[in-house]
Amino acid sequence: MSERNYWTSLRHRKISRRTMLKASSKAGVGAAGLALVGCGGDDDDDDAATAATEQAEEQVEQAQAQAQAEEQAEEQAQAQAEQAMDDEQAEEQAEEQAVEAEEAEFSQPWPLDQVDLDASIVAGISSRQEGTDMQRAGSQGNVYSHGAVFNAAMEIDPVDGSAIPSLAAPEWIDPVTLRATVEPAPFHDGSILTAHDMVFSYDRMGGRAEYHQGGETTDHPGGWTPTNPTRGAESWVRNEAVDDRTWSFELAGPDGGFFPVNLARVGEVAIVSQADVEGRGDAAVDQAPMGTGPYRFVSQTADENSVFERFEDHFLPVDYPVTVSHYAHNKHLTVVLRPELQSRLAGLEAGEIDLLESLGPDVVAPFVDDPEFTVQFERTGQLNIYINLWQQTMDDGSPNPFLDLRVRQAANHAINRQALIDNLLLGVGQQSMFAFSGIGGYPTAEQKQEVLFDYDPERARALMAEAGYADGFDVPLYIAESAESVFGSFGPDMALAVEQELNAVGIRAELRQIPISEYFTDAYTRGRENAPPGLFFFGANTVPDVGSMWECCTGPDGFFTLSPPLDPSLDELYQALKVETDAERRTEMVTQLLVEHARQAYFIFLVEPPRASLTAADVNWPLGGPFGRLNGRTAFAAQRHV
Amino acid sequence: MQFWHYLAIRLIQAFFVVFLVVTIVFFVSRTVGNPEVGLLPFDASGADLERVKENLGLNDPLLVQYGNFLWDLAQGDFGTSWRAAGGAPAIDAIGSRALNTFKLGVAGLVVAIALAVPLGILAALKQGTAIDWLARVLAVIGQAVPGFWLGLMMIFFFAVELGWFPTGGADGWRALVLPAIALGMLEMAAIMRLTRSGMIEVLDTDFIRTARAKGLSERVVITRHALRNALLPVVTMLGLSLGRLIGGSVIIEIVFAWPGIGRLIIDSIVQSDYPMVQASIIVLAASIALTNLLVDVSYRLIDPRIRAGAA
Repeated sequence: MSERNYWTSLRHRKISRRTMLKASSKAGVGAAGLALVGCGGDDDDDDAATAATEQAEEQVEQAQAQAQAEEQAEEQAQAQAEQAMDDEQAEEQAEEQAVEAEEAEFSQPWPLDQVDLDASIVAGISSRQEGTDMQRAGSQGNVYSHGAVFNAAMEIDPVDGSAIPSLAAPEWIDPVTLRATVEPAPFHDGSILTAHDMVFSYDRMGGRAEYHQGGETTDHPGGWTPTNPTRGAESWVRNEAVDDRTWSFELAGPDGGFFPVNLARVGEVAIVSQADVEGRGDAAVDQAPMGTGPYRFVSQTADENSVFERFEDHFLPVDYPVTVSHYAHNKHLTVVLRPELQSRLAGLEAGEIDLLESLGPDVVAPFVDDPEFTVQFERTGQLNIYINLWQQTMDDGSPNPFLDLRVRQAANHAINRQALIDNLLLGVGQQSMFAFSGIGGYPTAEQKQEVLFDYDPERARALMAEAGYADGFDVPLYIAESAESVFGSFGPDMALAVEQELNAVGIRAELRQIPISEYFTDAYTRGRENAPPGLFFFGANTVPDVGSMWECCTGPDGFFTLSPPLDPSLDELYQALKVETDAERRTEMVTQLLVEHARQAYFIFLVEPPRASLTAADVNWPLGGPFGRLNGRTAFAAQRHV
Repeated sequence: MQFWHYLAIRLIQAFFVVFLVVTIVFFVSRTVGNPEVGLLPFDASGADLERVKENLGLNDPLLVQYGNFLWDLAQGDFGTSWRAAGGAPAIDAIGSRALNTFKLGVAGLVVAIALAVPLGILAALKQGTAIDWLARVLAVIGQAVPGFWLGLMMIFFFAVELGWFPTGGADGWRALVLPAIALGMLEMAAIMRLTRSGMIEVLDTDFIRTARAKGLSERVVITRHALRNALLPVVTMLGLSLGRLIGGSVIIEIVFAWPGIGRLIIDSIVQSDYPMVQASIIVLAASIALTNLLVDVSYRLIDPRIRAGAA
């Protein structure tokens, strides 16, 4: 059985507590009975001997009866307690079965004796950036091709999304200082990773390394701008090597989500060799990457392919058990570029390609029952509609109706999410009900149910009338052009369906397509106070920590925030969460934050669509867990059957 | 008009055409798109975006950017791609792709000629028969069927079902066959119709009747007398066809994952890689302008009537 995660543990804990309460109440009946029985009268009789004798006899009898009653009550209480324990065990078993069933959705690696370790695998992708320097802005998007060349300081566990040690095993010395023991991992050139490389890597991606200040001294003809990890180099005040094996890092303030966001985020956070980068220069690194990862870079042909081969001296063994993203179960890996989807599919059908990823459910539908292929769905981000709550008025000068909670609730009741899932997503996927998904600490099914807005157009119309909009109102619904490339192949159809459903309750949405190059800019979704009033179709990826989503897209200071929480207590809660380092307490706070955000209907919640992968039948591409693809490089964990 | 004078005027015209195209591309590409957004992670901060924008020179006034661009261009510097590995000069990145596109264009033209000329001759000789009708239907189909659809159908039939050719890529001559046929079909239709009409026209002339009256065999009449004259407009058209094939191969390159310049332009536009877009368009516009120039010049050399008219 797989490990439990935060939330399954929490479910267990909550159910245990509830069951214990039930048990207590049942036992309480017995205890009360016991107490009542035990409350004998304080008779106040004379001291006549006979009477005393009789009384004594009576007392003995009473005591015997009382003892008997006590014994019965005790037996009864014990039986009830046992029953309660049985109930609890049954519930726990049911929960465990549910967890197992949930985890069974995510394919697991085949045993090594079933895997051809000398196999070659060909993966087909639609596009990539050509540069290979993961720390350079403009090249970091090459993660699918080159993620396996590098390791991060930590990795994301595919089972529960937690950050686990990889090149570094950090621990908090105090709320702002972490100290990490650095693994003596070999680089592909044979040199050994030291704490100085860790310092260099973070300084480099944070834009602090002396040699490329402002891109002025780099040898890269295209200039060199660092990627700067999500929380930003400005949040670090110290980054130094204590000795070759000890790395020390000091933050400007406590940050409970620092590990998953800044140490394990694959892409920008790639550990490089200081000697290699300084020796070869930025331009060479951008053409031929070198790291400690499970694959060694062999070659790359622009617009055609990238070729890798297994790095036999990788510091983690092939059967490393924790995460699927580490191992290299095939000898050679070629990533080919096929921009046209049908051409990619044809390549798979012709046997030229072994696996494809990031496909919409409609694309893989014809392959679901085909024994020659394996379709695998994975959880991904979510699609929601962001409501512009910055604007007090609409384009026509009328008050912004969405500032009224009842209108936001009405909009949420107008959406038939299950129909969207059934009709556009092959029935796979989940209803979205929270601002983020895929994070460690995702609310439980029970909590989701608690704030779920049922599809209830009547209720929606009643809420609209109650808010003074019985006749409805007009509102633009913005969506990026080429929505299929941004939100998935079903994106445009979903936007149309949502438009119609909103219209049905009086929210007369009008779909407006904006060029994709404009949609994610200050003119629209990044516009905050300057964004036009209306609704914005928006997708969110899975994120390793609630903080990165809150800080970019949901909190009042987020640069993508279109629906700032009108209730300031939500941001206060987030600020408290940010500095909270106790994992259990963080989990509770995340739940509280998400539930309250959902209750106040700051988004029009839609769906969590699945993303599908398609492989040849003899190829296993294990997810490992709900967080298996979070770092985007498990493409390298493909296995070919012997 | 002297040949060299004529050539000089045409060269100047070609230069201005390319200059105009590049200027339009420069300004139009900057009216939409924010390259810095695509260069950084989705959730990059505003400060990071601003930093990248500054480094790329995008904060300069548009006219200053244009001036810098022209100044660099005058020195042979087409700019540096923002996305190519190692920050390669845009013109270097274009080199191999342009060669691939040229290869595909020529192959497409060969396919078109190989199918169109015999069909056109046959249709003209068998005018009004079922063969003529079939050839014309084929021409209509060739012109009406979208290249991407034809390409996909060919992939499914010849690559997936029969396994004769790869489904995509540019690995070896077999990878060239299907995209060349898909690309050549469109031009095949036009060349076939032109060959047919040219042949019908020539076959009805006095010198053909004379040739027949002299007792020459039909084969000699057709190949030595009729075809040479009928193909004159076809030859002129071939140059233009090559230009169209090179410029119009974008869709075919995408469908067949052919690493050509058309695909590079599309990718660069999507990624707002302005230097690469500009350099690609310059190369493409220049090659088409040059091809047209060569056609005009060769036509002038081939056809004495043009020379006489010009004089």
